[in-house]
Amino acid sequence: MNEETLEISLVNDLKEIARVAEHIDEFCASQDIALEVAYAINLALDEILTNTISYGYDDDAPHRIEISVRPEVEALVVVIVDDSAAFDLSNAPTPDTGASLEERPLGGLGLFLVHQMMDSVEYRREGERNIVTLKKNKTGEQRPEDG
Amino acid sequence: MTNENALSVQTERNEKAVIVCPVGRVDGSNVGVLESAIRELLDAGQKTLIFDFEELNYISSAGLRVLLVTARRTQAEGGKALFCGLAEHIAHVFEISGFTNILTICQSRSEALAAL
Repeated sequence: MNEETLEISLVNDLKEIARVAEHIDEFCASQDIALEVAYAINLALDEILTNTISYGYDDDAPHRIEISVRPEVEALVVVIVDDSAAFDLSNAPTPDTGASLEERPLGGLGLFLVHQMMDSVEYRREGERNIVTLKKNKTGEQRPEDG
Repeated sequence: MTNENALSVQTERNEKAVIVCPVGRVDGSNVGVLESAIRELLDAGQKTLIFDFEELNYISSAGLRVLLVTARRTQAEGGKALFCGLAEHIAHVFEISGFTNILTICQSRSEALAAL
């Protein structure tokens, strides 16, 4: 298996998220990563990028966000580096998923999903940069052979 | 994989309900397309919606929030929102989110129509 690293560079625009998903899908297919693992990574990246792009910047200037995806033996390691406001997402509060339809809070679901879908979520601040490291075990079922 | 990352919303009128079929993916950048399609139906007095997710590839929390708001509004207005055709990975996200406990989820469109 080719143990290459995928690198994606994007600007802080929500429209970029679909493009990131395309890259992740292609990369995971080329690495024979299970579809459910690819889906989990796409969802986690989407939720984090949506938060960062929507709330992380207090100016109108374009900002770069760098993503790398590195396959290890048992897991995929995803690193997101950006220069948005410091935000530690390693301890997201758990929404009340047992609440009734009327009482269910509307917020807080995104980061909760990140933690549920990933096997580990780490955050650190280096200078002006946020560095988020996600790990997802490659334990999904093998994808079916392509025709 | 052309257009796999875009979203369009198709609607079909049935005597019992309007069936809403999002085609493609729902994320934070395009959730407004789904939201306004739903609002238009509800504002026009439609009370019962069946969401058929057969052609939905992906949904993020931005989309889930719209579904929650819609289920609440239909219930408050004496109607109902039902959901069917969920792919396995989407059903999994519904489960993690606790949505399987508060939303009406059916296997198929015919099952959803029969439940009305």
